[in-house]
Amino acid sequence: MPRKGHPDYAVDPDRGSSASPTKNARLVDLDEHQDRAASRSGLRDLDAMTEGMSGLTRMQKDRERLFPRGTTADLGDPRMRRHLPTEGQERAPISSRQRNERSKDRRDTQATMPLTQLRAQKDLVTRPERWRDLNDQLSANTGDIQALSEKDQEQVRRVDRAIQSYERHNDRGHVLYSNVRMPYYINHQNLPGFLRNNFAAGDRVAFDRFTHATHQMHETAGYVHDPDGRVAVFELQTRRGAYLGQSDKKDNTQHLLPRGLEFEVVGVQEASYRSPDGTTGTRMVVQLRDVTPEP
Amino acid sequence: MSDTQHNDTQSAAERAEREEMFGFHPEILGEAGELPRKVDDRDYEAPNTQSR
Repeated sequence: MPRKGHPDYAVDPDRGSSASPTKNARLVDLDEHQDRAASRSGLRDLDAMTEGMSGLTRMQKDRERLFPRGTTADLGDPRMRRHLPTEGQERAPISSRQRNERSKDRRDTQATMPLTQLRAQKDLVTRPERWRDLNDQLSANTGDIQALSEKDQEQVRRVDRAIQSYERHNDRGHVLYSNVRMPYYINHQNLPGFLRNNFAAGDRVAFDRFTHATHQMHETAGYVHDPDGRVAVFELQTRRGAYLGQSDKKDNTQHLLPRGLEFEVVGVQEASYRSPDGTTGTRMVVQLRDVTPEP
Repeated sequence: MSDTQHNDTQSAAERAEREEMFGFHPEILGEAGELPRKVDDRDYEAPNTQSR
């Protein structure tokens, strides 16, 4: 989205390189920003054409697609959709029951998915240099997997499949949290204004990369070193991705979101959160709703 | 090692791999990469340490 005060620029929250779970926002030239949006749109058109081709099996279409298809199971109950919190609502840890059920889904998925997919997923999230390099390539090419080497394409596709395996087991929605570091001249004093100027309701945000998230704001707050106060939190409503956390025995609700997602900005607010030990804090939050096209 | 023992060992290793609840690498202190600033029209350079 173009910046209100500087129409030559746009803020791309997913464009900066990062070996950590935190996204690094960058200012990009407006022309470049629009070119990248058009490029993504063209890739999605190609996916729509693939979906429309007769004579291809579901597996063949999935192999030809440039962006991974969402494969979430039907909602188990409308109450399981999960909605973004309202302004002023404290963000609290998720219940033990929820953590245990998500952990069970993860175990069930891992027990049956091909080992090559499980290994590709583990490799991506446990090697910071791999996390950075694959994500940087996806970002540089606006998610066009065919621009990657054969070896890298193979790993990305295997991770796509691993996430889809989890999604097929998942009959609930998610509200997730992911840190995003704003440009170097932003600090705790100008962060709220910067966010409100650059993330207006209705703006679109694209995540070409895989995204690290958690199900709890207090947990995400603990994953970042932010002495300058320039890190905000994306609060994401989606049904996509794979739970990589654990049961209620540990305070770990990590979640891997697939690449190639698109979100709509719902709003910006300061939000308070509560940790399991009762301590509290506040973060600047940008609320996003998943609007990824599904051809 | 007999074929049976070999298969048992392989099965146990596979089961352990599937049961491992791995998570993200805890590299949480990584600072932002080279952040841009506009110098003229479309040229950018990384900010120096004073400007951070």
